[in-house]
Amino acid sequence: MGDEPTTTQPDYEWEICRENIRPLRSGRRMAAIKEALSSTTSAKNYQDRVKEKFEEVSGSAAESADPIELWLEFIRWFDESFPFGRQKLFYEYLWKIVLQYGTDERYLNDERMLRIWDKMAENSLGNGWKVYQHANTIGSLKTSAIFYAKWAKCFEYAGLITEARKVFQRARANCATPINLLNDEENAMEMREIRRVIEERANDSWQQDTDDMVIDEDDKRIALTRLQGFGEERHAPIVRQPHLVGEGGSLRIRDGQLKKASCSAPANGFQIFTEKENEYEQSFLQGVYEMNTHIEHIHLINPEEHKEDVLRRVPIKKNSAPQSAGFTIYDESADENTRTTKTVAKPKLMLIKSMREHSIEEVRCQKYFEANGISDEKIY
Amino acid sequence: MTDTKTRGSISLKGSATLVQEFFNFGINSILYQRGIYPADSFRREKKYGLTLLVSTNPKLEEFLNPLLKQVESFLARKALKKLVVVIQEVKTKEVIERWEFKIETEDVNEEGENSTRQKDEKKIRQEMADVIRQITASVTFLPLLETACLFDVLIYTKRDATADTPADWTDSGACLIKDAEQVQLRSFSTAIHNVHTAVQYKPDL
Repeated sequence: MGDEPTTTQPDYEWEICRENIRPLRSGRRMAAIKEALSSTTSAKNYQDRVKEKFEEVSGSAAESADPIELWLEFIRWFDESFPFGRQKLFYEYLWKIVLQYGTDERYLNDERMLRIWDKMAENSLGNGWKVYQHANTIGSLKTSAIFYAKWAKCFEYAGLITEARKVFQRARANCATPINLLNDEENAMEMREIRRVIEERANDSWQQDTDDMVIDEDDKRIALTRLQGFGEERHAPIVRQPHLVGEGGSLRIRDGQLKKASCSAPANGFQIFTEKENEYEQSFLQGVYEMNTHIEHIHLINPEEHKEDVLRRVPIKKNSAPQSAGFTIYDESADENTRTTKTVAKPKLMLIKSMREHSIEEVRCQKYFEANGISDEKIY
Repeated sequence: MTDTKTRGSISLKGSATLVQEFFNFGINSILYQRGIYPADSFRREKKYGLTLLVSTNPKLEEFLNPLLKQVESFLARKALKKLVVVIQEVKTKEVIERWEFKIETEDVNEEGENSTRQKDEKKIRQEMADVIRQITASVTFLPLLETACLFDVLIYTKRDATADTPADWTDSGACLIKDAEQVQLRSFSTAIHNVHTAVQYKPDL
């Protein structure tokens, strides 16, 4: 095993846990990741840890001349201590900070506040633009161009490009500075939007091409099973609507302009129904009935007038009840059929009746003698 | 488990080709992962058992192809010491990320005796795949590049190799990052070239 790498596994534990580590805009320190991965803090403990740290920072902030710096340190600590996220908890504490210092006049135009708003937006589960909107409403960073750029980006990422443009308009209305940054960010956003539109159009045209391709393929589709070929090459139709589908599912326009294929065509062997084409021209839904069961055919056609055709259709459709077919095909008349039934039923009744007085052997002997005109007296 | 292993001989030239190929995919992966070029300008390619992304930008190909050819030449002459991919902000030219591939070359001859080493090619490619995989995973800890960035490639060679450097190459500074955070990534070895990868960045904490 000399070729095996000697690298120790724990060095790359971050790689194993990479799916669980939440990437940050600001990046992460590897040492902090390793430390967080090695700690075994339970859910209860981490909440206590955060609470404890928050209270500690609150105490220090109350006495500090510049408390925001302490809170930024708290944010850094939280990010590093909990690489797996804990967004909800983080958001709660960030909200507490904002409630206290968001409207503090010392920090209204302090760009360090942007860090807190950014963190809130990052941890707001897709509601980032609302966070920036709130900040703007309470008067925080009203003249900061970068604040508006980030706000607009939130809208842009949410696909609300019109709203993003409005944010830039608002920034100009509020005389946000530096104006160059604002212009550059707006231009960059418009460029990205143009790119997106071009991509979408390219995708749409690709989709269109694909659709065309499908249609082209369909146009050359070979008629199979019940489909009647159309044209010289006997292709199946592209669109099959009930009023266009004729006998056996074949393409046949009702007015008869397009005639059915000749019986010799090899594409379709189901030519049996084409003998009397005019009989179906009464109904728009003939195709539907063709495709479905023969029961509708029976209703559609007067069974007395087309009795022969109906009977012929039964075995072809393969939907008929086999029990009844066995009797109807081989019996010549209904009377005979009735008679057969009676002769079968009679011996059963007689047998039961005679069984009460004689044995089976005796009854059979008696019937034999009766049939041959032999008297029972002669035998006994 | 048996003691029998598939082993293959690798020469200095063959190793140079393998390493050069790795640099090609490695640089392309960095450019894709870090968003230096738009994602739609990359095509997918199967390599090392992974699906990697390779740029289709003709200008980039025009830049990378001769560079990598020269790198292969340096590798085959045991002259390459380090290859560094530097990412800078377009506006300020500030270096914000630095991918370092440090190369150690074994003492082998170009031809004749002592010109080959034994290592299974499959094993080499597996090690390369592990490095590429780590490059991909590095977005876990690297900062998001929110501004437009450019990249450059720095080549560290032995002094005696400078004679045949292309005319359009110029001397450069090391493009270091002050107070940088450094993460050592995996290494791979062809048994002739050992390549150690690291990334330096500045976390914006």
